[in-house]
Amino acid sequence: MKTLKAGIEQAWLPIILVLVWWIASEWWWHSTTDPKKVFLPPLSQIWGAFVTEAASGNLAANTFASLRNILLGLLVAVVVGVAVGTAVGSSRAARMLLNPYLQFARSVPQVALVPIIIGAFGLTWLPKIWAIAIACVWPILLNTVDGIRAIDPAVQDMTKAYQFTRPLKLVRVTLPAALPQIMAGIRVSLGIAVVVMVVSEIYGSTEGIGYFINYEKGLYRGPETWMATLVVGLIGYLLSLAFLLVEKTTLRWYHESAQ
Amino acid sequence: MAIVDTAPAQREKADTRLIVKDLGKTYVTGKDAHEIFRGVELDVEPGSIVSVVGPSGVGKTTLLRCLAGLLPATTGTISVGGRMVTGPVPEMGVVFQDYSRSLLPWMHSRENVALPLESKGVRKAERNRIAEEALAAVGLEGAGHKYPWQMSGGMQQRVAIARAIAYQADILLMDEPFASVDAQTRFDLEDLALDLRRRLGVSIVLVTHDIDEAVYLADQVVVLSGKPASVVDLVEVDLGTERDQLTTKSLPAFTEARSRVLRQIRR
Amino acid sequence: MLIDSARPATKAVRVPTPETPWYRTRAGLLLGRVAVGVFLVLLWWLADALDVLPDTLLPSPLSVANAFVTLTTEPDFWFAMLQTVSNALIALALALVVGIPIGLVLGLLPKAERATRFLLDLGRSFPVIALLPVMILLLGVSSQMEILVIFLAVLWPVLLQTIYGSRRLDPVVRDTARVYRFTLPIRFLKVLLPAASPFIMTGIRVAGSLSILVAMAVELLAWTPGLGSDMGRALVDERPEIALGYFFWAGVLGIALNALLQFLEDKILVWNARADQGATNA
Repeated sequence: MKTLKAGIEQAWLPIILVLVWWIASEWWWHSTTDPKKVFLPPLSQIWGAFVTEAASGNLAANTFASLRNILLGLLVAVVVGVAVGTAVGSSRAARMLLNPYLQFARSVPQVALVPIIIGAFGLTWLPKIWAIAIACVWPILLNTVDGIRAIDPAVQDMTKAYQFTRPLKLVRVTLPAALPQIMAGIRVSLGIAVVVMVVSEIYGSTEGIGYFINYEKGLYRGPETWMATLVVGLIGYLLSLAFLLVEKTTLRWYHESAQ
Repeated sequence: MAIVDTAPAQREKADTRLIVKDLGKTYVTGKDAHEIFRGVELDVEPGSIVSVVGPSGVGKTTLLRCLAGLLPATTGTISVGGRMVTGPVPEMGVVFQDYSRSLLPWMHSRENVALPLESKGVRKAERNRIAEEALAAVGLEGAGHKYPWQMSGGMQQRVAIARAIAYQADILLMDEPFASVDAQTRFDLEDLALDLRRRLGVSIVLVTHDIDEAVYLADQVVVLSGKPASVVDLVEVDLGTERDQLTTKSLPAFTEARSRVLRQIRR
Repeated sequence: MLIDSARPATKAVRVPTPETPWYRTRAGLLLGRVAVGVFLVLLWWLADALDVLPDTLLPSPLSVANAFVTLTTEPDFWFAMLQTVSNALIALALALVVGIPIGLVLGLLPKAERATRFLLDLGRSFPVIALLPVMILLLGVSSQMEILVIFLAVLWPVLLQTIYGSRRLDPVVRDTARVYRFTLPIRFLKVLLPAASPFIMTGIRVAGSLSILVAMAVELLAWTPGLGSDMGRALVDERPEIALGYFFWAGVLGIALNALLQFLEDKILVWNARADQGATNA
């Protein structure tokens, strides 16, 4: 009963807004004579476009391509970011010397690399994965450095006093201790990955949901363009939701001990 | 970093005598030098308990960290069982003051206790067995599945002690181990220390600022005082190995030792 | 030889290692960082000389440095920068005007948390750049369209941070204000806003950096006037060194804006803290 109540409390406003949108957009569409109304289609037409494209398998294929790029790009970013971040974080010298460069790397417009990379390597999916990986590595790397740096000196003392071997210390102590920060970094990178994916597919691609949006825009098909845009939003939301679940499970100890 | 003499000796009780000669520590930052302590001499026989007392900030923790091998001493030597020691050794287990921060929150207590053994290369079944025994020895039988943050301060400290025992340490170095728990728990933990000495034959070097505790537990009380700190007195406590909180603390020998220590610290 | 036993034994003791490593001294740190920079440039130069990556991707460091400097001599560059920055700042200002009041109100209403949670999560995870095609359909390729897109993107950090700040208002303070019947405007200005200001400032700082990035992305994809489209043009003209010059300038811009906002944040928070102290001293 409690979860039902919580569910309703969270769902009523969005549902009402969707209904209002549906009705208002329908009414506006049928009453206005603005020729540009094609580009602001009622929700009913957007839904119709969704049904059509989903049935034809078009939507699924493009969504899959985009998801594949995001996940592979993130994977590379995580592996490189955690590895390099651990190395840098463990050495005070490295941290202090490299800091200004890392901060600068984080401030450059990562999306600007997309045209450079695509221009040099073409429209296929592999360059997009590199673009996503390069953009996403910085938050993960910097957060890993912070996480490693923040390891309690009492823990460091303990591993030294009990003569922990290096591999054991890394796997059983260092990485788990830094995991909360690392996960926070991955969370940020997730958002960046979605953005870079969209940019790379609008700029130059032959597949993907971003490409789909642009393609439909090129054909001046309002409902389809809007539909694909909303699908991208949904993808972004579902990915962050999925990540939240992963975070909750792996960091259960962290959340429960922080009381 | 470990034992200088590489003769692999069997773990005999005679081999675990801790001898400290002329130990000193000076911190150098730039051009300034701060001498923390100098000329510390200790002789901890196997199975004996030595308390180190002194005013706050005198350098007791620094001394303990040097003994544990976490801090290099500037002068002097440390030897265990006749072998010179320059870093952490398997014979010494450390129980830190910040017990809650030295336990890993992503592992339950049995895993925490067994972890140093994993580093030693002990196989899993054996590790768990030893860990369970160590937990039982400190009175935490059956609590192995609990996480540190699910336990009280006193229980967490017991886990830290169990970890040192499981490590098969012959010498326990304890840094104000009972300072952050309430009085009743402190008495229980003090008796636990005595119990461990009696049952397992471990030696203990215990740093504390509580004079009652120092005298109650020790065979020898080392009084550290001054700036730079040095050993101003070595009080032999002759109260036997069977002690308890009520009777022992009302013995005249206890009061005498206590007054002497207090006088030395105050000087 | 007089041995003064009262002084700490400095000369008599042989200290094995100094306790302050070289990289922690001011000079050492600076030199070390410069050395790292030189090393990175050398790596770049080597990669270019060995043609590890195509020249369209990685032009020589010299050409990029040259472009970086030459750009400043061209009035078009400064004009484009003005365009980008003004687009970003206008959108940021709009986001503050809209986001802060709404955020403060939403944070005050406890019921609103559950009702708005889905919408806020959705908005936060929505890649606003995906709206670019529909925006182009509706508003065409124009600076107004660009400002609208940036606004939609930076609204969320401002809104979310303001809501957090508003929610964390100490209930005691809130009730006190209500009991003493402070009028709504006073409550807003003197109680709520200062309490929420640390969070709001964080939101503004994040939004600031984001605004430049989104501006450049829109200019790159939609060719609206600004640094991004100039960069895109350089790529079309096959002058990657100029494109990278723009790229680094954008980085400098982002850092400068962040530093400015950080400076403002510190100033406002000091002023805030002083006001608190004044209130307690009074």
